[in-house]
Amino acid sequence: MSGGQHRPTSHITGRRQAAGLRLATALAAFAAAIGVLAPDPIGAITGSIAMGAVIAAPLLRVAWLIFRWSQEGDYRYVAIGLGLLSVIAAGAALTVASR
Amino acid sequence: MAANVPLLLAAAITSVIGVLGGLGGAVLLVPALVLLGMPVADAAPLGLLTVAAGSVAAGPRHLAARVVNHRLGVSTELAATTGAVVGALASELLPQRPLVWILAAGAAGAALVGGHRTLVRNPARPELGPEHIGEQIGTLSGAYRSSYGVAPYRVRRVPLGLAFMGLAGLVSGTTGVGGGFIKTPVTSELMNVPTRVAAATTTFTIGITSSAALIIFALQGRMDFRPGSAVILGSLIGARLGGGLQSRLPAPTIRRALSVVLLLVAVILVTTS
Repeated sequence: MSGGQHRPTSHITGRRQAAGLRLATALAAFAAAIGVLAPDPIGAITGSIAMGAVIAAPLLRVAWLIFRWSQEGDYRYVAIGLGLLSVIAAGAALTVASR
Repeated sequence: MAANVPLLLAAAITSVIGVLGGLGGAVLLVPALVLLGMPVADAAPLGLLTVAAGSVAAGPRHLAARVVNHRLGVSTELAATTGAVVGALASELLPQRPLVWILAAGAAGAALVGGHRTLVRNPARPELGPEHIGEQIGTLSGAYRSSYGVAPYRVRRVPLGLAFMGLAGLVSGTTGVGGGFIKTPVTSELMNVPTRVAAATTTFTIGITSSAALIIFALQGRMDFRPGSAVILGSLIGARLGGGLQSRLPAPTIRRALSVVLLLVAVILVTTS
C-alpha cells in the first residue's frame, strides 16, 4: 500500500467478535464470582466455567476469523489459522500422550 | 472463600497497575506470588489466567477502534504459540531455580521496555478514506486512523519478528507472564507497525498464547478452580478500574514507577532464588 499497490480492504468489522467477547467476559465474571463465593460442588463447577470461558474465547475467535477469511477467499490466512489451531491441538495431544 | 480473598485482591491490584503501566498484570502478579512463596510452576497458570481474562475483556474496545491486525496476529501466533506449548511442556520438568531466573529476566525486560518507549507512527495519506481502515486481504499490511488522517503501514522484517514472538511464547509458557512486553515493541519498532495497532494486536495474541499454555496446564492437572476463579474475577475488576483511571493519571510517570518496581522484583528474585 505504501509502495503504491493497493489491495482490497477486508470487510470484517469485528462486531460479532466484540459481541462474543462481551458475552465471554460477562459469563467469566459471573461464574468466577460464584466460584469464589459458593461452596463445592457449585463453586468448582462455576469456577471451571469461568476458566473455560477465558480459555475458549480466544480460540473461538481464531476459528471465526478462519471462517470469515474463507468467505473473503483469503486462503493463505485460512491455512495459517488452521496451522495455529493445529499447533494448539498437537500440544494438547502431546500432553495427554505423555501422562 | 477467605483463603482466596488475598489472591483476588492481588490480581485486582496488579491488573490496575498493569493496565496503567501498559504491561498487563501478570508480569507483576507472578513475581509477587513467587516472592510470597508460591512455586513458579503453580503461579504460572494463575498468571496466564490474568492474561487471558485481560485479553478477552479488552477485545471489544480494540475491535471498535479497528486497530487489531488479525492476519498479523494469527501469523505471529504460529511462532508464539509453538514457543508457549514448548515452554508449558518444559515447565513441568524444569526445577524451580531456572524458572525463577527466566521470570527475573522477564521482569527486567518488562522494566526496560516500560521505561523506554518510543511511538511508531506512520504518515497519513490524504487520498485514503475511512473505507481503507483495517487489514488488506492477502497481506499483513493495513491502514489505521491516526490523529492526522488515515495512515497506511506495511509490515517489515517478518522472519526476525517471528523469532522474537517464539521467544515471547517460550517465556510466557514457562513462567506465566504475558509476553506483551516483548511482542508490542517487536511489532512496532522492529516490524514497523504503528504503536496503537501493535498494542491492540498484541492484546489479541496474548489471549491465544495463554489459552494454548493453559490447556496444557489443565491437562497436566496444574489448574485449581477456586484460586483460578479468584484471579479471573480480580483481573476483570482490576482491568475495568485501570481502564477508568487511565485518562486521569499520568501514564509516563506510572510506567517509570512500574519499571523501577519490576527491576527491584527482578533483583530480589535472583538474589533469593
